[in-house]
Amino acid sequence: MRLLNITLCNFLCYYDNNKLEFSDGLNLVLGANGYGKSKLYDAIQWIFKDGITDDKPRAGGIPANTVRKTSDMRPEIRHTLANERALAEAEIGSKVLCEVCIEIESGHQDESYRFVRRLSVTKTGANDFKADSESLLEGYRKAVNHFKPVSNPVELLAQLIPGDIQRYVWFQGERGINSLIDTSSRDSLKQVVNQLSDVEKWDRFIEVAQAAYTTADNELKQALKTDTTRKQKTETLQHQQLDVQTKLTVVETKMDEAKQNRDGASEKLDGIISQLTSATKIQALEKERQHRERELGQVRARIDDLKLGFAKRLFTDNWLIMGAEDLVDEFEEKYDAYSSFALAREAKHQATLAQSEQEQTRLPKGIPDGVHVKDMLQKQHCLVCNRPALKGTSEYIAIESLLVQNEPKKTKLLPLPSIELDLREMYRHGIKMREKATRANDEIAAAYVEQKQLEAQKLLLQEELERIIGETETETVNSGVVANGTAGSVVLSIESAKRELERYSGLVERYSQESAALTETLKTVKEEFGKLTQGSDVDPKLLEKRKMLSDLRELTELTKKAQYKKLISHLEDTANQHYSSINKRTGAVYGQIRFVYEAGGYIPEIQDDAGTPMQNLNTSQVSSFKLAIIMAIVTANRNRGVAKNYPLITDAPTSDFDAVKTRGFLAEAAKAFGQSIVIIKDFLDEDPNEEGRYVVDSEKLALVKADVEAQGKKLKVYQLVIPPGQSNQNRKNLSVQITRLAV
Amino acid sequence: MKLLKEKFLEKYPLYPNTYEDFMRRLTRVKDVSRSAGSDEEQFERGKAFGTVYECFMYATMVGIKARHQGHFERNAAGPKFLQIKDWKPQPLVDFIFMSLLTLAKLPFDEIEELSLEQADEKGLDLVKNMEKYAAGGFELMLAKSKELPQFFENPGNVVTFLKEVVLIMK
Repeated sequence: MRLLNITLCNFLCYYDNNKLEFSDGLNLVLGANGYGKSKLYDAIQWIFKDGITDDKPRAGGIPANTVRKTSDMRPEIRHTLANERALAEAEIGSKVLCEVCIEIESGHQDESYRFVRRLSVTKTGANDFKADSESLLEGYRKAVNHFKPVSNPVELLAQLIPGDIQRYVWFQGERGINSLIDTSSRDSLKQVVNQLSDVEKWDRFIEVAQAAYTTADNELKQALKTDTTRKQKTETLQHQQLDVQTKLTVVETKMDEAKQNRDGASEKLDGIISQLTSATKIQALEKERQHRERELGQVRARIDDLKLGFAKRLFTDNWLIMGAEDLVDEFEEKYDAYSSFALAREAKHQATLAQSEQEQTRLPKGIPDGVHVKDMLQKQHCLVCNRPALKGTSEYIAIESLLVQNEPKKTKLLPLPSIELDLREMYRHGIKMREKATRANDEIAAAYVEQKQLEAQKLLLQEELERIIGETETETVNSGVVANGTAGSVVLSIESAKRELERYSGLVERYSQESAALTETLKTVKEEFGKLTQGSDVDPKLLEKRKMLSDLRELTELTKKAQYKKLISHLEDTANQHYSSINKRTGAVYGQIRFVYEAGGYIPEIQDDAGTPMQNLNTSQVSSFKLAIIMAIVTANRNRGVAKNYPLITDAPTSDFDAVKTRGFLAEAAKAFGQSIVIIKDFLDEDPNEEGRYVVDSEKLALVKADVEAQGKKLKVYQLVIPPGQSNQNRKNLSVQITRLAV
Repeated sequence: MKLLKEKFLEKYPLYPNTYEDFMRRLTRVKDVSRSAGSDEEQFERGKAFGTVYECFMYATMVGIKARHQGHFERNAAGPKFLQIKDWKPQPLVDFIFMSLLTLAKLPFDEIEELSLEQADEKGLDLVKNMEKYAAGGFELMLAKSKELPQFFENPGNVVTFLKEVVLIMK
């Protein structure tokens, strides 16, 4: 089976028509977070399973990351399968068709098919939509140059890729990998081995051998009964054996149950204890995060204040006049010029005044003061010569002329210029401001230094926060403890799990003792039977037959064990090949995978060169460990040809890997699978020219190409792109585009 | 002199209406005191100048430092804003008054004994001169903004620009 192409039309973040052509070899789809990677994977799931991955747990114990069917979605949110932009642009009353179309080559006789799944959404109001209650799937078979509808598209899809294969070759992210392989459970590998091989048939051989032995044994006992001397004893022993055997079966069943319960309780206790550690760690991380967030908030606020303060201080600290100090000098010059002018004018004025005074003191001799002259004129009588001087007479006129001569010359007195004081005040103010302005440079430099320090502090705090959030997330994912879970409830669970473990351990002990006693009794009974056969006239062939069938039973059991071990060993070797290919270029110590036999089953673990289990594995090691096992499950059974016949389709399988390790995985996927479609966020760098945009790291991609071509395969690369002017924050205007990249 | 300053302080300066949008981009024109913190409000809060007159004073000082006057006709003015006597801080207003007196082609003896009418006329001349410096300042700021569109959105850059103007002058 091969995927030829996929077309998404108004499906989730994909607006209008978007088509991807797939080829044999490695098909790489690159997209940053929020660019629609998982939505592309969802499109394939929607076709095959009529559902998309729901990342939240739902009522009824449905865990997160389960595929939720279209018809199981709540009616009020079902329309969200359709593209938001298409819905926003639609007229009220019109319909938006959300559609995914996939073309597939079956791999048998060049048959190819087209499958189309649709969901119709009606816009009933500005923000109201009504989606059909379920999606519609149509299937077509290619006939020469056109497609003919098929009547059973659902069954056809199921035939194209069986469910037990699909789950190991199509998976999504770290959680998908975790759900496929549980490295702590013996059953996980048992199921895989059964699926990989025909080992189960040995269980049937064992059953047959057991039945044959039981028949031969009964035959022998029957023969013994014909011997009258032994009949009584044989019957008694037979009853006794039956009775003990029945009791033993009951006890062993109970013991098995008790053991299972004890193991379960033990695992539960281990889980809770690790949860307690995790809960405590998460709580501490949460506190630290809150503390750092507060600190970061304060630093951000201080930076904002400082930035705004730059503008404020222009006014409050007089930075505004910085560089205008020369104006004070210019003012001083102008002020000096005015002072000189005012001084000169004052001097002139004083000279005029002095001259006037001088003129006044130079009155002719014998001429009386003006006050006496006025008195004489009033009395019309000359007091100098004591003669009358009537008005109008020549004497009166002569006296009057004295008065005019005696009046001092009036000189206009200019007031002292009052602006001198104002100018002086203004100059003083200018000097004061100049001093402040000269200090501004130092103040500004100091403010910049503080801002730089705060920016550096902010960066550190942001990095610290990212670390804390990352650690919390890892701890949460690994432990299953939610971030706000309380340690107290974990402690209570521990007490309850301990009690449960003690109880079941007690039962196992009790049943073990009972079983041992019954086994001993059974042994005695069998010995008694043995003694009975000695010296009897029972046909020796019956004894021989029972012995042979007993050996056969043992042989079948041993063969099954050996066969199982061989399969496990093969699976282990294959997993190690993948594991080594993925990790070898990283330069880190990665150990090797070993399937260890423990209490009736195999458990995978990573061991170092000395065969000691490696402790404190990081998430990247654990992911590559599980990924290698999953790949081994698919590739170990070459006869079945799963990797050759079915495509690997995976979204974010390498989210915990660095670029080198991702390359290792991609090369291994290209090598193992005929076709692989891998959707990842690697090999993208932030565009330095535009925030929120990404450019491809061509150098790293060229290395991937070389790796893939070294496996004799081809590489095809697509990038998920958000067009200029759009943002994944505003989904009503978002149309993610799929662009083919030349490598 | 007192009368001249009094008359100067009574005036309402104006700026060219061509800079109205630019001025609004740099100045908080909305009330953000009770803001809940939307992006728009945060942008508003982050503007360099709290009032129109602060922005005007800044442009004036840029023009004065560069000794660059722009063209301005009072009949092509943007919206009226605060009277000079209400501008803060007072020491800066006094400095601007001193600068304008210094730069005016007007000997100080001609402002000694002014009648009310004369003081009003000369006060208006000083304001008109200030408006031309402000227009010149806006011209230089807009040129910078065309070169780097987001430059003045960072309040720290208004200080940087002031230093740039000083360097250009040197």
